[in-house]
Amino acid sequence: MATGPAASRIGLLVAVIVLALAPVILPGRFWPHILSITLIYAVFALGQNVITGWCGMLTLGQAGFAGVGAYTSALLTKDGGVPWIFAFLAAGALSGVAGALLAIPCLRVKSDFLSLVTIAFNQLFFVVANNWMDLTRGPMGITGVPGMGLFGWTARGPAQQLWLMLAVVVLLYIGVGRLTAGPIGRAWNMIRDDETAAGAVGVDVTGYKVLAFATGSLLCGLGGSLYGHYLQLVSPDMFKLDDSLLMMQMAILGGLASLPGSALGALLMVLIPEMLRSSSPWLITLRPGIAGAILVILMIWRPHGLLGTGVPPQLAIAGHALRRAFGLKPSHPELRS
Amino acid sequence: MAYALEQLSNGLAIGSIYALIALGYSLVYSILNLINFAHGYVIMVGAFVALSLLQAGVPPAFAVLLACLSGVAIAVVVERVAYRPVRSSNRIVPMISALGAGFVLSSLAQLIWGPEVHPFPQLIPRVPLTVGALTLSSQSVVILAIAIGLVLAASWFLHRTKFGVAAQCVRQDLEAARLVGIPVNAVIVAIYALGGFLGVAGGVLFAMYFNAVFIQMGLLATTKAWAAAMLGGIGSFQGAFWGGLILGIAETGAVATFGAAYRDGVSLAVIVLVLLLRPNGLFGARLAERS
Repeated sequence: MATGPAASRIGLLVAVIVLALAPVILPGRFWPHILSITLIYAVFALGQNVITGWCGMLTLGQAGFAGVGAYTSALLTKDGGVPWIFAFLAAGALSGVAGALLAIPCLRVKSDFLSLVTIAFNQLFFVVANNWMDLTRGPMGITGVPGMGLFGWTARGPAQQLWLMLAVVVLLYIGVGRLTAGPIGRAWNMIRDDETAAGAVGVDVTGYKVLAFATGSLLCGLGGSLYGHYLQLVSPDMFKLDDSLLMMQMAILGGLASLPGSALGALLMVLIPEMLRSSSPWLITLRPGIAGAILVILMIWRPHGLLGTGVPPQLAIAGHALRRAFGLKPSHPELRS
Repeated sequence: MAYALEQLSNGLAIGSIYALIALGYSLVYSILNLINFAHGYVIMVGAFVALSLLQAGVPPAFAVLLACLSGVAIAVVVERVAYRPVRSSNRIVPMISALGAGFVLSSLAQLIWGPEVHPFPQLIPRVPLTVGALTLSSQSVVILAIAIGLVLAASWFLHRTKFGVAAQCVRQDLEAARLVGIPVNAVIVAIYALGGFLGVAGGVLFAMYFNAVFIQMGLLATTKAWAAAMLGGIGSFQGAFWGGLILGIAETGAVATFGAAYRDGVSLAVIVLVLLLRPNGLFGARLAERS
């Protein structure tokens, strides 16, 4: 558990080295594929976490923004001949703008409404992607999306793709880490913990909420670009409401407002179903239910998730048990108003 | 003209179903400010229970009543397990907990009944009724009558009984209600139970109207309930009723004009439009809290 800047830097370094060596050590296509999908979902979970974890708004339609990014990037590279890196940036920009446009009307009122409007957005995205044949090619999706690459070099094979995505993901995590540690992040946290107080001390509550939502959507758009170019396919099925709910579960399970938590949540939610897929198919049916039960349990005992901000989990659990035993107040006072 | 009136009667029938579903939802929001994501899933499970009872040969009226009671039981259990422990937490926490409870219900239902769409027995015969130049579906008329009857009963219960007065107090100020000796927890449980009962009644009528029961009904019902409740003014009993009726009529109109594919788009459009234009709903019974 990373407790300080030094520890978190070492943790990040170890994770990067392990991931970078994985395609060399582990033969075959299976593990590099799983790790690549994990990296992509780590970006989605990060986007969700900026909105839900740092700023405290529940969004349930992030797959829609990932879809906007994926389609933008795929169409720009395939039909427009734009180099991947520019398409990637454009994907993020468009998703971010879409997020801001959606958030402005919702956030004028209480942010509860956002959760339902984002569901609506996701459903709407699916309907449009499925039916606007001229642009999106309909339910079959866009096939033959060009691979990722930089300055004329194209990533070929699972190892090179993994390395390129790893570099991108590390940059994004470092960027979000700096953002959330700075004044913007503190404003977001304050809004999450007490909106009224934040407004009273002069924080532009609506502005920062819109900024958080746009940032999270931008990240999901970037992740969507990675997703489409990695699979070389973009289809409406990749960005359904279920995928949004998965992103939400990852962010919460791993840890709200936690960088390593976002990555851990993605790893757990990708890895565990893959490992169960062959042995116990009925568990796959139950997967959302199990995840749901875990969410309820987490909300009651550890509302910040496994690696959420605050004390390390072992200490928190022990501390909670102690406080229970002596009838003291529960941990995480900032989440218990 | 006759065609429009026939469509109106269909719209009223489906709208009254939405009203039933929206009432419980809106009540919970008005008391706890909680978006009850599990509500739709409770309704879905209740409709499946009704289906299983009917297939087992239980007399229809009895089967539907039992299904509604199962809705009560599930709603009470969900409240106890997933809501009460987190009631005083940051507002995002109970919402996530509610979603989690919804996932659990949805997975269990899928495990028991499978992911496919099940046809639902037609308990109310669909015969054409001719009134003058109009041809109405008997089913629409009966659904409308049942729904309005239930809404009136619930309205009497909430406005004229001692329990109803207690519920109004809890709604206005939970802590003050507790201080003057109102059993707040019992009232909240009863509100959930009422919501479960009305919701499952609506869910069974919904299943009958569309001749289908399926897992995704859970989230669909939540979306419709939310749209109806917002349209009428979130947290208001009357608002939910009128919002449901208007939503039903709007949907039927959209289906008649653009085709059946756009049915579910209407509720989404309604949510966004209401947020943009009138966050307090058409009847503005209670102010949506501005941030």
